[in-house]
Amino acid sequence: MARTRGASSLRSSLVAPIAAITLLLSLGLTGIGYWTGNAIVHVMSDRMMEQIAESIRVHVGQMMDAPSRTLRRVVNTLARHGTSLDDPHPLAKELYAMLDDEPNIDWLYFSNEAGGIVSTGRLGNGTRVILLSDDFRPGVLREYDASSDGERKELRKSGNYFDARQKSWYKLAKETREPTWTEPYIGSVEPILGISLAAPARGKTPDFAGVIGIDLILKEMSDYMRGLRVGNTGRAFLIDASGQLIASSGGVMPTTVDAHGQEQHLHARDAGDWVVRTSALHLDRHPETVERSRTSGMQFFSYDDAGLGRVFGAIIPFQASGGISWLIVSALPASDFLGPGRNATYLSLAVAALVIVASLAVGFWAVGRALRPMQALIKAAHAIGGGQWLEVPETNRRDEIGALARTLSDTSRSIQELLRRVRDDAAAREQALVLDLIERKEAEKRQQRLLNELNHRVKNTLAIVRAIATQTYGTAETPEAFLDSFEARLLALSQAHDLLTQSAWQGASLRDMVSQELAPHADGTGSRFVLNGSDVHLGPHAVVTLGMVFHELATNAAKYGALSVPGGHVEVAWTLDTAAAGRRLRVEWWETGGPPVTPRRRRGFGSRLIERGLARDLSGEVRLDFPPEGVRCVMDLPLEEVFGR
Amino acid sequence: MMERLDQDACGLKGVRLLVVEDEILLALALEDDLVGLGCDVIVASSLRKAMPLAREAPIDGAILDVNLAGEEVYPVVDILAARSIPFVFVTGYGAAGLRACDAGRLIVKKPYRLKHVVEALRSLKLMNRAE
Repeated sequence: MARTRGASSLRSSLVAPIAAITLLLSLGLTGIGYWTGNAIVHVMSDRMMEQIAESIRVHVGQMMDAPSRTLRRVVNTLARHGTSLDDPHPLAKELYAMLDDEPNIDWLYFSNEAGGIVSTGRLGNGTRVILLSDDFRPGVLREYDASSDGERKELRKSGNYFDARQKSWYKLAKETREPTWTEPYIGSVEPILGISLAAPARGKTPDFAGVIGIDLILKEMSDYMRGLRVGNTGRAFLIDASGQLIASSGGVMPTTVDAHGQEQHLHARDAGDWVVRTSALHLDRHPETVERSRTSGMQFFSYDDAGLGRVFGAIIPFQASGGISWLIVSALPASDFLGPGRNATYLSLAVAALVIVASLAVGFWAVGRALRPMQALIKAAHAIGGGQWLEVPETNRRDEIGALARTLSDTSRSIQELLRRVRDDAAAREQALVLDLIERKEAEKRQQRLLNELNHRVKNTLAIVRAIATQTYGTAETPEAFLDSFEARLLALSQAHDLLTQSAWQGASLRDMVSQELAPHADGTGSRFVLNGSDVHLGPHAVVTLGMVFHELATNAAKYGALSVPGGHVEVAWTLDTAAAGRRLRVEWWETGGPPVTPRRRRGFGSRLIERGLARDLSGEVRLDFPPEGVRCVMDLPLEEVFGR
Repeated sequence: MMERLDQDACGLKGVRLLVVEDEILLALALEDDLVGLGCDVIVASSLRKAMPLAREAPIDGAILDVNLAGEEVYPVVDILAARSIPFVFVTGYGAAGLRACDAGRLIVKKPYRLKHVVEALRSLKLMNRAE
């Protein structure tokens, strides 16, 4: 159907651009949102990493400051008390007492120049113990219970051979003559990651009498780091110069248990946590970043990981007195922020899709609604094309559709008018043709009728001629007289017909007819005849009948009456009687001045024609008298007979 | 005149005839002739005058001119046929001028001689019903 296709393609062409523009706008906005989100995430990640790293630096710095002050206090107290550094027992008591005052310190110890050690501390379960190497010299390290005042009690267990001079803290303290931190290590007493701060002790020998140290299990720092939240999936961690993990957020342990059941210090690049591991690996691969952080402070980095996606990170060195040179690393996968951002993007895409679908639907609906009148018009146009004159709808609208409808309506009317004219023309032509045919048929009929009529009249006339002949024969006394009368009667009949022919057989005036019959008998004086009467029109039948009657009267008068002598007169008078009883024509023939009339022996043809024929033929009353002074004939005829036939 | 027919030989004596003829001269002549043969003749010169006579007049036969000044004589024909009164047409048209239902009727063509009329009347086997 061309109609439907036309409408829907118009619809599509109206709606599709809107939908396309909406789609492009949506995609564009989504793209901008996505790009903006990425940019914001980048900036925010950097800012967040920076703040976390800085925060760690401050906090850990404070935590590392406390042991330094504690150690200084211990050294000063020992010096002030003048505690002998040679006898391990009072020294143990002294250290034991000091440990009571320092809840943050787990172990206090002193190694003498010989390499022996005395140490006091708390086990993980809170038990106070005293460690002592045999003879306060390098030897087997034994663990004793301690009394509440620091007295050595029963032996708890004996450990391995111990020589403090082999320990790094001892060496560092002796070498630098400064309080020095060791690398974090797994504790020998308990398998806990700890760290030691060692300071040279000055005794009788002013320079170096041994090393006083404290052990920390970094509990406070671990708790602090563990409690840090770096987004949802981000991590912040501390590593030492060799890359070993010291503490981390997110419950990432700095130690692991090896195949032999031994606690092992964990390298950050071996960490189970993927963020810690991949960022450590990234820094391993990019030592320049680490180096730059040591010289220029905070450095930002980022890398792409197959599992995590983009990861933003920051690195800042942590340095503290006592040779601490660690690194604080924070790292955050962009997905942490981008997740909600992506969700927003997906949401906006979904909304865009909804908007497009809705705009398509609304557009199709609205355009379809707008085009519905067009379809009605198209239907009307189709109908008009098919010859059906549907009423064109929508002609009352004032918009373009209304204008179109009016145009269509006008066109339809013009076509109808044109068609009507063409039809009328054809009908008129057909009618003319039919009329022409009918006329021709009529003419033929008329001609036939005329021929029949002619035949009828000829035959009739011949019959009349015969009748005249037989009637004349019966009254003529000689052949000459017969011929004379016969010819005169034929002539009279002929003249009557002449009168009728002049008027197309419509009749003649009474005066003309009488004048014609009397004319042969005129004497030139003009006073022989007197005709009196207004002009009366006679029908054709009356013309013939009365013509014959007046012929007979005139002939008789010429033979025997008033017209047979000079001085004789004939008066013909007629009147119209229009009485209500019946209109009648009254005609009177009156001869005067002729020879005396003698009554005829027998009535001739003329008399019979007048008396019988006329009376019968025109339903009149006729009176023919022969008084001596002149023939008198009075005819009283009904007008309908005179006019009608 | 020239054709004088014997009154007795014709056998029409006393026969009552209706002559319907609009031409006054023809009617007069025919009347004279028929009266001369011993017939009783009634003449009607128009259809209007012929109708009551055809219905009521005591007649034995009729002589009918077909064309009566433009009118046709058929209403009279129908009345006579209903009364079983025999008749003869007198017309210049001949048989072609008659109605289809009157084809076969006796016709005397104009102009006629008296003996043609007499022959036609005799062939109608008219009888004086008054006797």
